[in-house]
Amino acid sequence: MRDRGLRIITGLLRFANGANWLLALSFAAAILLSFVFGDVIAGHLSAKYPHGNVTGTILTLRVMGVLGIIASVAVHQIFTRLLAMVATVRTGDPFVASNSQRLTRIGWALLTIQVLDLVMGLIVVTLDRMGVDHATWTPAFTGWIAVIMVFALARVFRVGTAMRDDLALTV
Amino acid sequence: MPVIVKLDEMLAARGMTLTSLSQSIDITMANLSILKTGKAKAIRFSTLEAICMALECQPGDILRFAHEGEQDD
Repeated sequence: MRDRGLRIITGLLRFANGANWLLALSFAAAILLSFVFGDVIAGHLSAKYPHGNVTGTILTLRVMGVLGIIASVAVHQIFTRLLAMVATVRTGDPFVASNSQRLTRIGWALLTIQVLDLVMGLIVVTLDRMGVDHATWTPAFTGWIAVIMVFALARVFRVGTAMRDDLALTV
Repeated sequence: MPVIVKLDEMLAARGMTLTSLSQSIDITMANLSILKTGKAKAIRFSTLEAICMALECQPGDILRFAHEGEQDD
């Protein structure tokens, strides 16, 4: 089926997935550079926070980079599954069991992102205690609602597909 | 399957083919084949009624309940 809206969504998802991987690469590069220029960064932090825990701060920043890469993997799961779901519309039947499995996978990826967000909250508290400047953090409640919603929809999709398959063999 | 479809037997008794039954009750050959081969998961009352009308029989002449392990005859 040809649908303009789905074509636009497909394009957006492909672009967003590419941007996501660029972000993951930049996180990886930042972690790598933190080792290469470790002394420079340590010197800069020592100057800014004379009584601060420089080693701990650098380690925390590296952990944040690793969390960013893990989040990118989760986001990749979401985008690629959505692309696969949109593709099933083109093939003619989106109400198939594989799409409910994809939706469940998206739910797990969203849950991973939410857990990473909580870890980020802990990191922000840690940075605060170390007296290091940091971005503000608030719990993302809408993300938790999205997790519940996607898992619920995946279940409805799964049961609905099974019901339809049952009806398919009704004479 | 505990419910056995005996459509074959009734067709033979009435001297009818699946094709002619399909044409007389306006149900596709594909669907009648699903029913005949026992692959159907459910049968509508309207389908049963149409088959009984065409074959001049009762639902029990087409369907038979068999206990688990009982031979299909």
